[in-house]
Amino acid sequence: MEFLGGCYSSRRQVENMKTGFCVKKAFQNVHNTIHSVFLIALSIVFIILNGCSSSVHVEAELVSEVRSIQPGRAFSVAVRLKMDEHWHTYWRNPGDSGMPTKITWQLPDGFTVGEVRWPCPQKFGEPPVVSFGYAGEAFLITEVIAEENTKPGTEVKITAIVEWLACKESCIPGSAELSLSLPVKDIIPDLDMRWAGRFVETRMNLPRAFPDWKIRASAGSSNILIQVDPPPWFKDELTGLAFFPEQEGMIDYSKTQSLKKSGNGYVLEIRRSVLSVSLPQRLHGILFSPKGWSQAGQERAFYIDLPLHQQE
Amino acid sequence: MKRYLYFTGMILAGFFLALSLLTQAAETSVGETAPDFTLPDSNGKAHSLSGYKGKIVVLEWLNHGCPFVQKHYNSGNMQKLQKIYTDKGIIWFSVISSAPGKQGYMTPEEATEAVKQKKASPTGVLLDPEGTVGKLYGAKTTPHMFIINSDGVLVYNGGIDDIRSANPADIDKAKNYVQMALDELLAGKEVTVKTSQPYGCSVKYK
Repeated sequence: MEFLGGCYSSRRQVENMKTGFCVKKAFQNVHNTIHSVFLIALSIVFIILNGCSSSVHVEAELVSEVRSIQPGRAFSVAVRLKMDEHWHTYWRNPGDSGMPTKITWQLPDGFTVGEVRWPCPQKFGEPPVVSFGYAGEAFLITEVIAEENTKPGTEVKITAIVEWLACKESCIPGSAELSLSLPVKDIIPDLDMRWAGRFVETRMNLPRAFPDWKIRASAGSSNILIQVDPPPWFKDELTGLAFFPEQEGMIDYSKTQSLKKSGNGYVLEIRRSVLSVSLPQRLHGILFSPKGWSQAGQERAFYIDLPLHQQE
Repeated sequence: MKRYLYFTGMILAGFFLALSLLTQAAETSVGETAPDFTLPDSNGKAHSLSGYKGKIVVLEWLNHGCPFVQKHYNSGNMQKLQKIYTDKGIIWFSVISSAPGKQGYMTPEEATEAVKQKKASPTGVLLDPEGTVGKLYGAKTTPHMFIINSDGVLVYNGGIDDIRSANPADIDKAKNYVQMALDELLAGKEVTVKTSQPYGCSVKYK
């Protein structure tokens, strides 16, 4: 399977990150029964101890940014997925094939949980089958708000049931029940330095809005046009723009998205999918620019959510 | 001589590039005439789509190594649909577009044996190791389902049902689009859901 680029084209290597006590590849290369029984028993012990699970080709762990939580306050946790080399899991819109990673939460009464903050994905595969997902290590960050009357001095347990599909050339579904216990304290929490850096790094790459760029979208019978007008400070050339739609079945992922100059800005032309019989009212997804959307030339993932006008 | 070969090479490369672009552009939308093709089944018999004018034809993309296909075969769901609708005169082809050496590829003998083992009842298993017909139809996943009406028009392009998962427990909860469309066609009605998101493993093209 060929890597086609996309977000994170200059990803940091995360191979040497501390991974806790995860038993890696516990079920792989098992040659005899005694060995396998021993490994399974061992991995069960580690799963109980660490809220960490390793199945074929993906290591999964539930981690917290902070070492304790405060009553009524928000804090972030993340499902950390570490894929074996050449394997990937999927974005919220997996593209032509695959399946998005699904997280089901079990929280104490009164705790609320937000949506997964999906990082900008990479492209995998080659035409006519192109998919979106993550290789290496992915942090799927979610915000949790603690119940107001949670008692300091107690501990709370958070559980995430995670289901994913891991693919290289072939695909293997995986799942894990991951738990994490955190003490409740009446102080501003300390960061958990094992993970805090990865939380910051992941957030920096999360798609967000860049209001000084003007974006409009319109649809014709066979294409979607995204008009991109740069702010006055932008003196560079826009190149390598790519749109990753959150909505399924709307665009043809295999077709080249072509960027042309138009007026004071640019227009990105995208082919509609043969599956898009009717059009949605809005277009939402990530507009990726290798040169970045901020003046510092960073922050490459632009989250857009726009009305989709009919072309005249 | 070298230069001559070089130019011939360039022209040929250009020709094949143009050809590949043309075949890519030919992906059919629902409501359009389904492109004709001829493929051998696992018993060596050739089938052309144009030979089945007047009949409803189902194309099911198949790879027995894929967990999403296994969901529908290990539960007996796919075989059940094949039996119900071929009994009603519908032509049902399972198509294997996996390239030799890739997951899901089968020799004719293996494909025939798999039909017996899985107790499947398609009209035939069509072998497309070059991926030509898969790409012609824009087959992305296994399974990926296409339905062609008795006038030769593509009337459904999409998934088998509306729950994207590899879990057999979801089959009963799902809305089966293929069953819905075929029942509508048999009743002389228009297909209501004409497209849906196909889900599964990528087709293992060469």
